[in-house]
Amino acid sequence: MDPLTVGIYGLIATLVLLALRVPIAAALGSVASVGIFIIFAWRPGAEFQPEWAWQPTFSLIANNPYAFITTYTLSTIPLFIFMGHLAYEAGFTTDIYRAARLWLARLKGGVAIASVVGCGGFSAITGSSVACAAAMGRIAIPEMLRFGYSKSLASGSVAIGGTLGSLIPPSVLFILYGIFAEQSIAKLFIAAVIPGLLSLAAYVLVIYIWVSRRPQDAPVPDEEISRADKMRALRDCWAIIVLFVAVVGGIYIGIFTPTEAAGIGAATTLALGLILGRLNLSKIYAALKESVFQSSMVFVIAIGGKLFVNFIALTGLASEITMWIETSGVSVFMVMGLIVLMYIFLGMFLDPIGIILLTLPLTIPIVETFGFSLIWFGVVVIKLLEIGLVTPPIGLNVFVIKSIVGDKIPLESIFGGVAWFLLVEVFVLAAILFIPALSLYLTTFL
Amino acid sequence: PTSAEAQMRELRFAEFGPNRGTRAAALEWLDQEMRDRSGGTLGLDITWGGALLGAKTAAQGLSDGVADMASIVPVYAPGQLVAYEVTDTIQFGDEWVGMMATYEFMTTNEAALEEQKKANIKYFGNYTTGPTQLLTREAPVTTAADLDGLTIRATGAFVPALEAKGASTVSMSQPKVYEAISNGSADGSTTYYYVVKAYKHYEVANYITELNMGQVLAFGIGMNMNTYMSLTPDQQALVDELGREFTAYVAEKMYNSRTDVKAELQEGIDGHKIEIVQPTDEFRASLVEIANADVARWKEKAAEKGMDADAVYGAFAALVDKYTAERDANGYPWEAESN
Amino acid sequence: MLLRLLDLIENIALWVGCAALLIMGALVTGSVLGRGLFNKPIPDDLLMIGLLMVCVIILPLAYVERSNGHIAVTVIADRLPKPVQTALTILGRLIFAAFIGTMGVVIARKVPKEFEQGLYYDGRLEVPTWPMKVVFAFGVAVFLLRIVTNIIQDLRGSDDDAVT
Ligand code: NA
Ligand code: NA
Repeated sequence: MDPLTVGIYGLIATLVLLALRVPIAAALGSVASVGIFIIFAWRPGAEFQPEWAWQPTFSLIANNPYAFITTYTLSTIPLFIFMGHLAYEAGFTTDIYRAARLWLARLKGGVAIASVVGCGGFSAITGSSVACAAAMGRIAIPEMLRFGYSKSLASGSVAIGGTLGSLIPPSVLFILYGIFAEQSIAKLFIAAVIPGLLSLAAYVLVIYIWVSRRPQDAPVPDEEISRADKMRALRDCWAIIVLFVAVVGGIYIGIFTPTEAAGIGAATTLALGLILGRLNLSKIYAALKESVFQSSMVFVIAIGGKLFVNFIALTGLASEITMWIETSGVSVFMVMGLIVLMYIFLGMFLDPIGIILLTLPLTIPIVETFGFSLIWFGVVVIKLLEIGLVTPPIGLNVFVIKSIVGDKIPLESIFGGVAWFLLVEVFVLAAILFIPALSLYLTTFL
Repeated sequence: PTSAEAQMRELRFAEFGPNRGTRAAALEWLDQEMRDRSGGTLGLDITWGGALLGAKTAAQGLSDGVADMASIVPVYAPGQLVAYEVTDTIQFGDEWVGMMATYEFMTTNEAALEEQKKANIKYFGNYTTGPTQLLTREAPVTTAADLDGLTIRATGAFVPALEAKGASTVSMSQPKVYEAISNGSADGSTTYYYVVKAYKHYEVANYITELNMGQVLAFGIGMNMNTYMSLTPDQQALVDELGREFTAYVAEKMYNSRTDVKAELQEGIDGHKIEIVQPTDEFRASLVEIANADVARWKEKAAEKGMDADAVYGAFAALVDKYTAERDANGYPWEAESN
Repeated sequence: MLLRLLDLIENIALWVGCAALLIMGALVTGSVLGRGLFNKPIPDDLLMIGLLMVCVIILPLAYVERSNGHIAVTVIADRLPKPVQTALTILGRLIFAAFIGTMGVVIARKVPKEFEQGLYYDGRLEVPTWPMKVVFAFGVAVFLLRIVTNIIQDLRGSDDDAVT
């Protein structure tokens, strides 16, 4: 069978299995495995010969996931998750959220806005969106729920806020892009700053409008708040401020790398919690258990996703789409539009790194022949990949949030909450696309 | 299908690097040559960027038939191609000598051939990184004293060599080096000229000490043995011929790219210049001595695998001498052509 | 009795996963401190941290399954009749088991050869390649046991529904 056909059937089969409540990891992994098998067994122009397929299929199923989970860089994700759980168990997050609630009492949706801004801040210490959503989700969502915020607002705002992790530097995705496109990484980083802040502002706006229209989703504190209360609440936050300064400062002074920041952050939280007597063995164990539980859930999906990328690579789907776009004979404008649609489509199913590996070798030459800036295109691509992290059916950031909240919030409510933000993402994306200066202006100062 | 279509065969090639730079250009060249010389019956279908097989899984995946051909780094596949790894144990930087010696070694040495058969991999041709240099961020390093107290990203034999001079070494994947040097958690890295350019390290570092130490030669292209056996005798002959030519082609390109990149870096790219400094002879010689001694680790590994380690090492060393003599006598082949 | 034993094994696997995460954090911190204070980072730290990820990801799989933690899209299937739902649950478990089980078997099959040949990762400490593959296979085996147990319970549960 033609690999491309296998690929299309594979995407359909994935949707069907997901609808049948097959665990996401299993749906991705099984479709990918069977698809890989068929492609190897049923080579174009030949009979179906399963004996050709067993060895390469087993090889991919075993070796690629094993190599994937033992990648050092990925260890930051469980460690950042652990840091979030420790901070929660030690009550540091409660302190900061109490302060945010008191200080932002008058602002509609103040705590959700604080959470999204917090995601922006956390983005400055991590290069990964999933890590950002995981740590901030643990910190922010329980507090928002405690203040009576609606489930979809609480979970949706952090899921979307987490996507800032790769947009605001440092960013693993931009480094990868820079290597593929032979572009200055420093320029890419700085180019993403305004689009990153613009996205952040758009999320804040969405929360504001959302809460204006549905005030019951974000109750304001009804008690009288004195200035003394506010100052006391702020004073209680010193520990978490120390923590943040230590981690950010450590990165920027050069004591450790952003990859190491997760381990240092967890260790600092642990030390502070123990010194202040706010952590004991049972709390530490609770934090460890939750972190390991959550990491296992998220990574087993990522393993399925990784295999799915191998499957799509074998189908040649990405190169078929780009070739079709290239030869469609439509205007430059339309071609760019189709490329954007392709990224949105692939983003529904695949993880950002997978899409980068599959598509950039194909799209960059096209964009280059049009004479467009590859710095600008990089920002566009990363923004699209970040959107893919929160679009159904496969949205890794949403799954991360789901792994934190467990049975408390159904998956659909999180996707539902994110939907509000996605409406505005369309405008942010359009702005980044049509106003290249948003990306390019700051690079002129380098 | 028409008979022309039925005869056309595209070999699935898994490349872990991007479709940019010297190596990618060489692969495009290979694809084109293969199509031209086979009369359109043989070509490559290249998957870039490790979407199919990453550097770490390439050798195993190739052996299992995930791809027909792949770029492989044996050091990531413990125990699979130990004989190939001998090519990394001698500290010399000449691309052409190294690559031709490696090619001949891998296609004639009994131990190497035996191992390929067991691994179900047919060696095709070679890459190289070019000689190892030392990149530093803040201060030029020309003596051991300059190195004392620095944190350097290093791999393999350079770890004991640099640590002996008082540096501390860290390991990290190549894409992480930029960040680490940029924020100062690493003061530098052992590196190669083309890497400094491809990974934009000139944006964050200011000096290169031209150590001209050893290159990575256990780094090449393999073909799945079953795929090779399934080719017609003519096609096999073509593949053999192309493998050697490809190796020579890459040697020339890498040699030239080193000179070009060096000039570019000194000139400045986007306004970022790198100053190139020379180590003292004493400093370089002592680093080479320590790094060469690291061959003991390879010999231990080879002996465990039942190889006559000294004989294999000796065979490769003799080939290095052979091609060094050839270069000294005749110069590089591309120089001869242009004369 | 057997169920309790399985619970115990799952809990132990989870504890080991927790310990591994703690060690990962300690290795990162130790390496940063060692480098900063004594100019001596921990050798092969990246390699060991990466390998420990196997404990953190694979060992808790069974425990997560026991807690019904693996994420699925429930919105459509939840509206179907109960027996169909049970059938779908079993289908999901079987597919999951097939996928993870295949991975486990293929990885486990590498162990004897790697052990025999004494293979190790390139690096100062010469860390052997096989132990984490054993851990991987063990985590998968416990997961498969849990799946079998759950399927038996699914079937019993639906029988009960039919009776009442
Ligand atoms: Na970031
Ligand atoms: Na998605």
